[in-house]
Amino acid sequence: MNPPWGASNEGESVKVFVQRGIEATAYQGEGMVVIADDSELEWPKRVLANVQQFIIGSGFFVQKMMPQMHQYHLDDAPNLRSCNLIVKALPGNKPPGPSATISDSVRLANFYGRDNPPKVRYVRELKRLDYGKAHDDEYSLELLE
Amino acid sequence: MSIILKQGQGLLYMKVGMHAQESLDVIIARKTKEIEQAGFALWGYGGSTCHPQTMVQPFARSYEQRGQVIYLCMQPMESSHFAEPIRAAEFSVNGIDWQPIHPAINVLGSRYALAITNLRKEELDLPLAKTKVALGNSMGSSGDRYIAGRVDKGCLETTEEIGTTAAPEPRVHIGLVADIVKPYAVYVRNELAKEKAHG
Repeated sequence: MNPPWGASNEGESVKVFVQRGIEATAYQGEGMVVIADDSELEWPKRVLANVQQFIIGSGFFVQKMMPQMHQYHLDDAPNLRSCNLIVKALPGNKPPGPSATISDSVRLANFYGRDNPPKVRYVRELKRLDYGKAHDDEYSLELLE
Repeated sequence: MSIILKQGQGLLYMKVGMHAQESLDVIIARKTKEIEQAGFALWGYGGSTCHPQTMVQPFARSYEQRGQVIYLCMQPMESSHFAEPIRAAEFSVNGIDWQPIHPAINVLGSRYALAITNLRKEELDLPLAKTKVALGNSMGSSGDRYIAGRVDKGCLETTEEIGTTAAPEPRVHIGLVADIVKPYAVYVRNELAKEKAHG
């Protein structure tokens, strides 16, 4: 998974994504989290520490970390790198209970960045008769004389 | 006139392209008239580093909660690149709810706009190394490393007082300053987009 990177909430966004991933596999198996891993910035180090603590608290362990593995074409963070964090469930790990809606608003307050909680439940496609054609507000026709 | 920025001052730095025919005084007069008639002016901009909803709005709100205002600090420069001068008809704070732009306000050829008042000429050499990125994925980066390459604007915070001593290199010359006011930064769209959305 490649979650929101949690720069504004000490990694809580990553923890929510990891929680859902672990729930989807019934607290078993293994997975990989792609998150920021930067040698200069402070926040990625705090996020990495918090996420690893959360993973261990969920009955998993960090099997392998591939540091500063990726770099992106981000206009606002051209030097930011990310790592692969490969995690695996401990033998006999069991779910603590059923998956539930996240009701703690503090966990979601800065989910997509500072002061930006999730607001949209679904993105629905609007059906159009001229599907596959360019929008008619993107061009005009100049007819032959 | 010169301005002093205290330590911890929030500022939105951007370069502003100038017409050879239009001086700073003319631009200030035009936008000041908008402020008088509408209560604020909208200053159009684009790019991906100062997104209205994920960057500028939370940045400005955090300062407003502390009783402070964020300055828009602009570095005038000659520019030959201009977008199509299409006037925006509507603005939106959240990209979902839209309302008409006051007829006195003209935003041309931009996707986003900053809400500003108190636009004035100010002279300041801004040493970007004495600023840091205030939020987002580059939060904490030094301003002089951040403002480089394709990045020509940013939400910054001063790390020490600026304006009382000679600014070290690298520095940028600020010639135009404004206060950013509610709703801080908005999306704007033109008539065609409006007609499409309304069917």
